[in-house]
Amino acid sequence: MRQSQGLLRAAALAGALLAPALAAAQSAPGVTADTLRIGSFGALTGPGYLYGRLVMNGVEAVFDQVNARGGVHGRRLVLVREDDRCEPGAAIAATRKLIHQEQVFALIGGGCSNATIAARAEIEQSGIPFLVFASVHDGITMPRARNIFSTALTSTIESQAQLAYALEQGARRIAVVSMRDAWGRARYQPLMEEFRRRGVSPVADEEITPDANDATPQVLRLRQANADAVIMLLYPKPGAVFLRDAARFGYRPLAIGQSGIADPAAFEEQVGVPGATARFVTISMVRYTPDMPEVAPWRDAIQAKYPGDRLSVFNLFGVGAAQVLVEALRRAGPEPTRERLIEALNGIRDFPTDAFGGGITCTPEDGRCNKTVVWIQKEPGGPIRVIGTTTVR
Amino acid sequence: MLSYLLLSGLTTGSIYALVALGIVLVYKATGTINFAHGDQLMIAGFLAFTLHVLLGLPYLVALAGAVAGSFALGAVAAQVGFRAVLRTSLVNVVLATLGLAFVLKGFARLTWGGISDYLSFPPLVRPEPILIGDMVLLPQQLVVTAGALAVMGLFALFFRLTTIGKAMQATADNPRAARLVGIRVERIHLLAFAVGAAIAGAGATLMAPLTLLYPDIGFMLFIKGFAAAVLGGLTSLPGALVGGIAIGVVEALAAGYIHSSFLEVSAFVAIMATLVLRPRGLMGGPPPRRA
Amino acid sequence: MLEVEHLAVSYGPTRILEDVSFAVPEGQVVSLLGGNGSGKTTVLNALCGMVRPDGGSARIAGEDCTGRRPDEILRRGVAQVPQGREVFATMTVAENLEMGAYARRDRDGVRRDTERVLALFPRLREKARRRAGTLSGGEQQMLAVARAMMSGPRLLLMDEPSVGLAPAVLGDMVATIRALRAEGMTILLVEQNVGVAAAVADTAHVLRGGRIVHSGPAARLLGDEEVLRSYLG
Ligand SMILES: Nc1ncnc2c1ncn2[C@@H]1O[C@H](COP(=O)(O)OP(=O)(O)OP(=O)(O)O)[C@@H](O)[C@H]1O
Ligand SMILES: [Mg+2]
Repeated sequence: MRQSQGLLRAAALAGALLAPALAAAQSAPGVTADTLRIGSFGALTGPGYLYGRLVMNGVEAVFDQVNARGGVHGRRLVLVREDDRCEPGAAIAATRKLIHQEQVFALIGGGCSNATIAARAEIEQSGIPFLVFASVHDGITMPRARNIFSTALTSTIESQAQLAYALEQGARRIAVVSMRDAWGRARYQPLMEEFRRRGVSPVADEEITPDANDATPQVLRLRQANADAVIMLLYPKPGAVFLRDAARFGYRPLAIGQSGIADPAAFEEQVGVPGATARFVTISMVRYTPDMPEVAPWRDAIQAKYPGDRLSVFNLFGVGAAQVLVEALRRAGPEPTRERLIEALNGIRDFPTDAFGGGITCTPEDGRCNKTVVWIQKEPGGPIRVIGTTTVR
Repeated sequence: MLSYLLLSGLTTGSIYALVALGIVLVYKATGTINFAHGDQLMIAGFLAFTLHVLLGLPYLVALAGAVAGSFALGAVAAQVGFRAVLRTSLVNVVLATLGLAFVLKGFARLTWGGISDYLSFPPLVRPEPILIGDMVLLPQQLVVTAGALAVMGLFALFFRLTTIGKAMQATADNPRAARLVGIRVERIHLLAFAVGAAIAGAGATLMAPLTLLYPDIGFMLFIKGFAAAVLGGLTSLPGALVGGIAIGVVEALAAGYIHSSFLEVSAFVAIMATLVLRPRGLMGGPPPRRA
Repeated sequence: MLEVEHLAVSYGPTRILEDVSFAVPEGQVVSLLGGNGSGKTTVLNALCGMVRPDGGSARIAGEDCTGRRPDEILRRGVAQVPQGREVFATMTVAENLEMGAYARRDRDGVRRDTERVLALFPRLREKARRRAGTLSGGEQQMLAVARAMMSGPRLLLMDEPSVGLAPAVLGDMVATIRALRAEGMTILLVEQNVGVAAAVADTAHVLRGGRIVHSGPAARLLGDEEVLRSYLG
């Protein structure tokens, strides 16, 4: 009896001590009366800055616009950046710091796939809502982690879209040329599955190493197989070598690239043989090129905030992702919690952005919210043009 | 098909040969494999890119600049990095060259890494393919093959006609005797590293239009060049050329007639088979003695 | 011409030469004898700068040259015909001779010496374009002597030039040394073949246990039982 009385008293005391903490917990981490702190990680330095710093700049441009209009439910959005230098270890450290030290409310980020994959476990465990803005590896969003969403295309989506495009264009004899390193396999396997699912098989299936300086044998074998379309699972270097050698033999199939070859203008130079890229199309994650009038406001915003920068597609990745995040924050209501944000993200349906090829749809089953690839092409000597989109399943 | 594949093997083989020449030169003179050779090529390529593309200097000036810059870099690296360890064990020298390779790659990433993923380098000659018989070739491929032959020829003359060239050969042949006749062997070693780097400078500028430039290119070039050098016997300049072309041809034939997935492995199978049958490679003499 | 005093040399922790002193007067042939591994080659290497002595001194024409680099000593007129010939096997006979003159800058002198050497060894003139590695043992030995001569030395250090020579060629070698001596060359001859040493040398020193244990006129060596015994060790 005495003993249970003591216990009760202890419980009451504990309750009194814990009350302020509970009250604090009710207003979620990173949320104050007038601010909302959002964390971002990616490469701020080194060559990976394209998929890091530049994308963050796009996010920040959206945040600035939202803040100028009064914020989200009266709260100003604050972006806290951490550098992962494209390295797995640094990405883990960066997310830990953002979650535990900076106490941000949600994450938007992820540039280099390897780094983001490394940080996935930490993020999934903490339950913080995370919207991936650039990393393309399927392993980041699959298997589904309930708090992880992505507006980046994944390699599987791109592979499926490549085959769909070839068939759409009436190709009858489709060949595959691929690298078989980790990057290439992540695309090759889903591509082969897609071939099976559609009941077609490639007429030729050749390999090129990432460092190859010659693709004559591959070109000859494809030509012998009479392939009229080639799905290229290649980086720009082997891709350029392949198209160069194809042009040497006057062999010009429809050549279908993916976001590994993201800049058709640079690629044309890398191939180096005039006209060799005439039938080359590749995937962009965004439906505008930086010089189109549709993105003029963002161009002005970026160039005003970051003097010396020119608007790039990487900025647009950030614009699109941030617009999705802001919409979900709005829907999460004036008293946001992480759970409410996740719920709101899961409710995004066919949401239009200023960047992506189609509407954004996130579901509790699938965190890959962007399934529309944008096809771009550069006429030799001409500008880069958007020629269409393909939405997969 | 055969003639196309042979020609393709010849042109890629020339790239390998151009790399192998520098490796062989250093090995002959010092008895050391310079693991930084590929990365010296990479740096030289970026140097030429900076001079030619970024600063707009004429191609030949860029070539000369890359050769001179590489020579200087090779000399400094050898003086600072290798000189002390050349006297100790072979393993230390190998480690020193490996260390240099990493330093060079890091430097390139920092300096040129932000421009683009793969830098394109405009060809010396016009970019359209040309027809020779019924064979289609890029003019630049001929330039590389001619360049490999020219570098080899120049070095043959250098070794045959100049006193310093002969002193290098004498040092490679018998370092003890070289010291006895008054050759400063340490200086010859230094010179060999520098000249090896200069060859890398010439090679890089010639092949860059075909290979593109990126910080990681050095390793691939080194591996293929080293394979060519080993196949050729490691001590023979003509061997480097023959070895490079042999590897290029074997790769092209394997990829063309079997499957492209056999390309990588075929070269190494060929090397293993050659070394089992002829342990000194195709044209190799005895290994160099160390001073 | 050469004065060696209290020379001491070690390889790592092993002391090879304890205390070696002898002299080679100008114009004479002095022979250094000793068993296998007694340190004869080490003495020559210390004299021409290939190994650094721990102590003692070597004076060439009065100048202390202890611890100098090989090329510096070569310029002061000391050349070595190394044990085992050590010719540049992949290079031609002519190139071997050219390398012998590597440290020299006087082109005319080199041309004169080339003629002189080729006159001394007519076989080398016949085979000037051949690779040294393809020559017979005797020819290679001649080439090694000729190469050393090309530096224009005043003192020639010869390390067992008789080893591995056919008896007929051995006579040639003895004749060569005599001819060199007649030209006024000073020679330090390391030998295990006591016959050769006795035939050409003025004085002989026997090296054992890192010291000179016997010195005397070379002609008496062959008959001297005690020396032979100590020499055979
Ligand atoms: N570079 C070296 N490092 C260590 N020990 C050495 C080295 N060179 C020679 N020696 C040792 O020093 C001793 C003397 O060698 P050296 O060559 O001077 O003898 P040598 O009298 O010339 O013999 P030989 O008649 O066989 O030519 C030998 O015991 C030998 O093993
Ligand atoms: Mg000896």
